[in-house]
Formats: sequence, C-alpha cells, structure tokens
Amino acid sequence: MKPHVAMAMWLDDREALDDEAFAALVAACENDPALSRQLAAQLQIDNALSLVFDGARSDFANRVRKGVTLRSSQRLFAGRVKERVRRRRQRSRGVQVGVVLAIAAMLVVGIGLVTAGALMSSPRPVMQPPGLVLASVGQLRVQAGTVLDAVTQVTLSDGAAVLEGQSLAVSPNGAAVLELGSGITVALSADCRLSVSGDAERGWWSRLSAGSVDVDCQHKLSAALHVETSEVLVSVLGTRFTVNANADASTVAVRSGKVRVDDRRGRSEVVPAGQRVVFATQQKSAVSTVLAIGAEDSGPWTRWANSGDLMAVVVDDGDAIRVDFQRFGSWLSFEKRAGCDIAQSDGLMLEWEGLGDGTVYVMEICDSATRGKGGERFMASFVDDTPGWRSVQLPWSHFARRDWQEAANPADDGLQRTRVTMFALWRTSPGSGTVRYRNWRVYRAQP
Amino acid sequence: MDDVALERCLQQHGDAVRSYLCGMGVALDMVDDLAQEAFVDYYFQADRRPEEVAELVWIKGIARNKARGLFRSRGRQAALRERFARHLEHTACPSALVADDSMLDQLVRCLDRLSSDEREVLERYYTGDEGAASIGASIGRSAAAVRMAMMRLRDQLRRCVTAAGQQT
Repeated sequence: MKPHVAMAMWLDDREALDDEAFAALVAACENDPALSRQLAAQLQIDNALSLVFDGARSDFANRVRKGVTLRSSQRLFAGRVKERVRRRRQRSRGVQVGVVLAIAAMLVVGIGLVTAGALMSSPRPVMQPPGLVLASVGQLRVQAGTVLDAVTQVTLSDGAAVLEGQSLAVSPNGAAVLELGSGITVALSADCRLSVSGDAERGWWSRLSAGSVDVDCQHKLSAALHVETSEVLVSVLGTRFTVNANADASTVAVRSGKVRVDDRRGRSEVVPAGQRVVFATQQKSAVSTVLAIGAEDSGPWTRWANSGDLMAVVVDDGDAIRVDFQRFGSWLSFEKRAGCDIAQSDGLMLEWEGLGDGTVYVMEICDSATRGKGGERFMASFVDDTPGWRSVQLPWSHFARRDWQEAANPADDGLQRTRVTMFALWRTSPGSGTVRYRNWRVYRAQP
Repeated sequence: MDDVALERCLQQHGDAVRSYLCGMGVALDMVDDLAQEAFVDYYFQADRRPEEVAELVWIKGIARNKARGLFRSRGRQAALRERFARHLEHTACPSALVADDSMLDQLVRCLDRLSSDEREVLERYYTGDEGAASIGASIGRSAAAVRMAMMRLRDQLRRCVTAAGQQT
C-alpha cells in the first residue's frame, strides 16, 4: 500500500490499518520528513475543520467547568464514604471493646455486665443528609428483626432517636414501636416504611409508603396527627387505629375513637370505632411514559447535584427523590450527551410532594438538534401551592425559550425534540425548601 | 487554583492543548475528552507545577500522559501508536497553526471559496457520523477516492489559511 493511501485511511479511521500496514506507515513517516510534515499538516486542519463543523466541540470550556464540578462532587462523595467507613470502624471497635468489657466484667464482678450491656445498646450515629438540620421526633424501640434508615441503609439500634423526615424501613421479620412523645406510639409492622415530621406543637405528619402502622393516641392531643398514604390522609385527635398501605389500596381500621379520612379524589369520611374502610388505588391518568428522566432503565445519565452553592442537595428516599433547594436558583439536572429522541411526546410530568408555600419551580430542557449552534433552552414553571403529593403536568405548549442561554448564540429554531440532551429542575423563588418528587418523565397522552 | 484562574487558563490554552493532542494523532472524537481531563487534573493539582515551567507546557505534559494512557488502553498497536505519537509530536509543520478563533474565522472564509459539492462533502464528513465509504456510496465514488479528495481539500484549505495569515 502506498504511504499516501495508508495515510488517508489512517486519517479517516485510526483503526483502519492492520498491524503490517500501520507499521509501514510509521516507518515511512520516520524515514521521510516531507511525508511526516504533510501528515502533521493534515492533522492540524483536520482538527480545525472538526471545530468549524461539529457544534458539540464549541462547548469545550463548559465541559471542563462541569468536569471540575463533577470531580469536586466525586471527592465530596468519597469523603463521605470514608467518613462513614471510619464511623463504622469506630462502632465496630466500640462493640469489640464492649464485648471485652463484658467478658472481663463477668469474670470479675457480675455488675460489669450492666456496663457492657449499656455500651452495646448505645444509640448509633445516624447519617444526616447534607444540608439538612433535622430535629428528633421520637425514639425507636426495636422489638424484632432490624430497622434501617432507608436512605443511608444504616441499622438503627433500639433506643435510637428518629430524626424529622428520616425514612424507616422495617425488615421482613421485624417489628418496632416509634414513641413520639405525649403518649403517642406508632407500632411498625414487618416490611413497613414510614417517615415522620413535626412535633407536639405543630402536630405530626407521617408518611406510610408501605406496610402497616398501628397508631395509639388515646388521650387528647394538643395538635393533630396525620398518617398519609398514596391514597388517603388520616387525621386524628385521640384514638387508636391501624393504617395499611399497599399497591392496590389503603386500609384504615379504627379501634377506638374516630378519625377523619380524606382521599385523593377530595372525598372526606369520618370512620368511627369498630369500622374498617378500604380505599382502592386511583385509576392512573391516561398517559404513557416515553422517557423516565434519570431512571437507570432508560440508559446512562449524568446527574448534576450535591455540589457547589447552587446545586440542590438530592437524596434517594425510597421510591421518591428528596431535594433540598437551598436558595434561589438551586437546581439539579440530568444529562444525556448522546441526546434523546422524544419527538413522539406531549410534555413533562412528575409527582410532586411540595410544601404549598407558593414557591415557583421550573422544569427546563435543552435541545442540541442543530449542530454547530449549541443547545437551546426552554422552560415552563409551576407553583407549589398544595402541601403533599400531587401530579404536575406541563405540556410542550407551556415551554418558552429562555432569555438566558448557556451556549453562545444558539440557533433560535424552536424546541427540537429529536435530540434533547438535558432536563433540569430549579427553584425561582427566594428562600429554601425541601420537597420530594418521583416518576419524573416525558409523557405521551393516550388517545 | 480558583475558578477565575481556570477561565483564564481555558481562554489562553484551550485551543492549543486540543490542537496539540490532535497533532499527536489522537482521534478527533477523543481529543476533547482527553483535553478536558487534562484541564481538570491541572485545576486540582496546579500547585504541583514548578514556577519555571510554563503553564501551557505543564498542561501539555498532562495531556501527553493522558494520550499515552489512551494508546496503551487500546491494546492493539499500542506500542506503535505511542511511537508514532512521539514522532508526530516532534515533527515540525511548515507553519504551526493553532485552531483559535481567528484561524477558524479564516478557515470559514476559505471554505466559502470551495465549490458547493466540496463543501457538502466536508460538512457531511465532519458534521455527521458518515465515513468516507458512506459518502462515497451516495455520490457514486469509492471510499478511497473520497479519502484522497479529503486530503486534497485539507491541503487546499491549509494553504489558503496560511496564505491569509501571512498577508495579515
């Protein structure tokens, strides 16, 4: 093969030449300075032509900035992992010391057992999500099996303080009681998943996402206690009742007193003692999912969160994502560099558990359909005007081009849904707030 | 290194580092990945650079190591690729061109002087995922003919850009 032909093939595809042909090209260049210079010149102009025509390369500086942010985030994460490992080792050492003390105590004096037992049962530290300052809502009594912090997967010991919003997951053979204070106890059954917020003054708000709880608050309360499932909200001022939540229905059984139950359809019902009411799961809205944003089963995503002043703090919380928007402009985003074709869709939607504080949030997307011009950003907003879970649906007709664009002079050619590279969620109101969402997706309305 | 310094560094050396990697024979689709890694490494380890070593030289050194790592990871022809990269790195071009904004502006002007067919071939080659074989099939030419035409066009454009640079 002539050197120029080999050179042309190699320039077209670095893998094109077999070992023999590539060795011959290398040798020819080493022996012929003119040929080498020609190849070097070809490479220079090759790079320049690529920069002119391939718009994706015009975003290089931004890629580096994001690379710095990502590595900072990775370092932060690595630091947290190290810290967690260190704590576990400390605990492990603590347990070992406890065992040694116990043996020593047994050998020396029986009273040593008490000391060792106390050491063994001391509450374990619980990882708190970064950026959140959480108060204790009660104390956990583990009766059987194990109870985990559903987010950090740390095992909670008997007597551990339960933090506000902390999601508890009871093992399949487990049982536990959460003592909320003021004489209220919540018995957690096996496979139960529950989180509780609030206090005796504000009232308690608990969310049951799976399993069953038995609530005992038979004396009069100064504030309300609520148990929420995906279907119903149970409010009580002194009674004893059981709530069960599963995929098909939520069940409320009242043993003494009475409770008020509000379902997702807006109906309200008072359930007296001795009655058991089943609330079937609502029929889902007639939409299909085109793309689950950030979900593992829709391919690899790059998630931008948990780093820097403006990025939101994001924690997986069971089937939902808990997001701490710490200030005006806090955001998180999911990116696919290769882009997604969502031409056959009608908009974005998610299930949103807001605070009802009037904060305006924005969903944003970026298209990169027109190469050479960078991505073009579009946004649509919604108001968090309802506490608790609700569905937010934003059709494409609600999306408008952003005034600010990250890329320099991106094409102003409308939303090109054949190659969307980024989905973002951000807060546009001052202040901060922690919300949860799930099932963020590109949807298509069913005919 | 702070963010302001990073911006300055990118502005001053971004084009040069990418041109450098391309000149080593790194495939175009890997150039930006390696350059990005080099700048990110430098951001976190800028204090390791001795004062007497110029910033660009240091970043190029990081980029060179990244490229070598890439060649080695490919297995096949690894040693030969590394040897070829070293050779190309030390090959003096007739005139060194860094693909900065002014050079790219001049290149766009030179592209305007080509025929529409030639521009279309270049655009398809560099814009999409089409290779020489695919383009050749659509215009009734062999892949080899398209590759040779690409080389001829690159030479032509390079002469045009170099001449314009000498005039200014």
